[in-house]
Amino acid sequence: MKVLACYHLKGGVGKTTAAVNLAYLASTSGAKTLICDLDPQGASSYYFRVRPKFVSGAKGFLKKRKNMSKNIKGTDFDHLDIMPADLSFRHLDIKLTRFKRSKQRLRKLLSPLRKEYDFIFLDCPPNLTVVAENVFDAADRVIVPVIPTTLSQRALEQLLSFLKRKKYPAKKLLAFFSMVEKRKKLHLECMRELSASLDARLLPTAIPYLASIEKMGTTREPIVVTAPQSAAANAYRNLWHDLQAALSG
Amino acid sequence: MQIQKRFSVPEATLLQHILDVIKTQFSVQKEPLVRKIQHFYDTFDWRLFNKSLVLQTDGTDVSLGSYVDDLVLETVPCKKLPKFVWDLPDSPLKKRLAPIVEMRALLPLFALRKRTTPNRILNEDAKTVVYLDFENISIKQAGKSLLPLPLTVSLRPVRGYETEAARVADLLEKTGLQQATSSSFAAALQETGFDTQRYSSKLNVLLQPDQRSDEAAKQIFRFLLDIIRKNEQGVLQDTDTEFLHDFRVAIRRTRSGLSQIKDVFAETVTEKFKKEFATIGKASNQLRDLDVYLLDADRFRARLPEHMSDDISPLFVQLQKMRQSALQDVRKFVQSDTYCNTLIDWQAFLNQPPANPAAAANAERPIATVARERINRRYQSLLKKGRRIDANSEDAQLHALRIDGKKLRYLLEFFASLFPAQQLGILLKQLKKLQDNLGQFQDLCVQEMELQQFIDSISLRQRGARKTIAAIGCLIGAIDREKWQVRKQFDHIFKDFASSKNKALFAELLSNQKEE
Repeated sequence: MKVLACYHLKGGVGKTTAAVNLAYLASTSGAKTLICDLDPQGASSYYFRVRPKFVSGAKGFLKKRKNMSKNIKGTDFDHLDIMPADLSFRHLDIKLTRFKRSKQRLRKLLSPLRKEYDFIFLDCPPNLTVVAENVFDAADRVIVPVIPTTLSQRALEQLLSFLKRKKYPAKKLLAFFSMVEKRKKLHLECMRELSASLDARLLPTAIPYLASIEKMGTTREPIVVTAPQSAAANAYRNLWHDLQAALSG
Repeated sequence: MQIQKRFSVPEATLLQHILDVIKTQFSVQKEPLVRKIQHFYDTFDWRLFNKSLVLQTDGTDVSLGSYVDDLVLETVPCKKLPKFVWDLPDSPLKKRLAPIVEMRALLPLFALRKRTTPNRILNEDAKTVVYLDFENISIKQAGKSLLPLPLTVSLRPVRGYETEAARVADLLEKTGLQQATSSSFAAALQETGFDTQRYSSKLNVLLQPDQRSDEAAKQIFRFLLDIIRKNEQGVLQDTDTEFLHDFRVAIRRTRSGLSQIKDVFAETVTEKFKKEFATIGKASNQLRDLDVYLLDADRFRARLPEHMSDDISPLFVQLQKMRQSALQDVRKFVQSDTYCNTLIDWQAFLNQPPANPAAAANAERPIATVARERINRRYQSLLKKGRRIDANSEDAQLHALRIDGKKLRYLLEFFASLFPAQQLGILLKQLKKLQDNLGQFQDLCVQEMELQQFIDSISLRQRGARKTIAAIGCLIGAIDREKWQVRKQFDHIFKDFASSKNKALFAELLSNQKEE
């Protein structure tokens, strides 16, 4: 089983759309896939039309390993399940500190699911708290969407130095460009600079900024399903290929 | 665990009514028709069926499902199901299947042509909470026209939405639908009549305690003859090694019965068939020996140091060649007049009414009495022979004890229906422990000897001959060590078998038969 986290300390960068589409693409190959919605906003739950409700809340989620399995719901797609978020997940970091080995808690919670799933995608909340540290610990790869702007670049640098300081292996991080607008000069310049510094940790496919992706909020389905021939769907398919190559490399 | 429910629909016109009833509480979204052909498989002795499992292929995947509810348990991408489990791609499915199916061939049963119209039942968020499949299924069998099964509606729950599934099931029941029995496979199996021909090599003969002994003996022999007949085809076609095995066991049991159930038939008859069945048994000795070697190839390899495990390959190539010619001999024999006439004569004799006046001393006596005498005699003899064995005993003595054990075991199995099942079960288990130990010892003795003979047949001029000889030498060493370990265990296993507790149990069994 591989645990893949979609993460950034900045919000609104395309984490959830990436998690939803990549998880769907993983499941279409027949791999048993789970998407865990850790973000209290519950956006990925929303995209799959699942109510954001975790029975027993953040406390129950952290306390008993069994609870996770009990809360999993089947999506409308074969081989793809979701563990919905809950509003109480906003307190995850406070609740986590009460546990021994609080930074390894998530890994422990996921362990019973190892047998059942081939891929687990974590849709993470944007912060750099102990929740993030749990994600870095539990994930085989942390996938970071980067909007090629100065602010986003700065956030990425902060994340990289944080990972270094906490001694997480550098190759755990995989970045890709998200919400790219090719007509913007700044985006292109920024991409050039970042490509050089990220090197192999950058996945070649960039996800363009497209209205159709934003529309996922109304269709409530992965764009790969609603518009399989669209540019956006193609981009996510290429990104999934890149990711698979990176995983096997 | 998700349970899938199936309902039978007596008339196609009811389908619309069903949807209308569900639409009072949920929205329904109809999906396009799915066409599928599923081919089903099992072993000759129904190993999967007996574990409530169903093996199927649809041209892209092989999947293992539950007999009870059509639920798929494991799937592996594989276009064509191989005949043997070891040729499947490595997967959880293979891991689960292997210990059940073992060396038996996976044989086609029938195919189902499925035309399914799935309906998504949606909640207020337009999320699918349960699937309702309208299924139109027909059975496809080689050389027969399509046989349609009654229409069904299957309820497929979605994980985490069990409450909704229960609500839909309630609605279906309210429309008056009856729950259909288990899976579509089960329904088809019933329809094709396959289950009436269920095969098992296990002895299952129901005798009456006061039955005439010659009649009871014939009943046992008829059962065994049936097993012999049922396995002939598989032996001739070499479908898998177990056809020959079951065939041989039935013949051995017949021979054992002829000499163990004494004085029930005229002596000339008994002697004639004893001789003829001995010939039939001998005809396949070599083939079975070779099968055992080849089935055990991996275990032989595992006994060698890793760098030598390939050096033994020429042995198996040679054995495979020998097997081909041994198989030809057996085929020829099973089609020969000698074999066919024996079986025809035997069948004719078994179907004759009991001789009047009785042909032998025990013929008219009640079978329960004769059974008790025979079992007691064999048991006492086994104890006596076993007690004589000590650390200095010859291998042959252990071999003789094993043969005696086998005779006792066969008697207990022949007459099982005359004794309380629980007590008999305990004794058979104890006896089996002893037999396993003796059998293992015997096999190792034979293998050691035969491997030595094989070395003599290798020409030093052959390529890699020295390496092969070294590997076989190594194997002989390993087998010898194992043999002595098994031998060492004999003492306490026999002591257990001959314990006073077991003796008391035997005494009780023999005095206290099942009363009618």
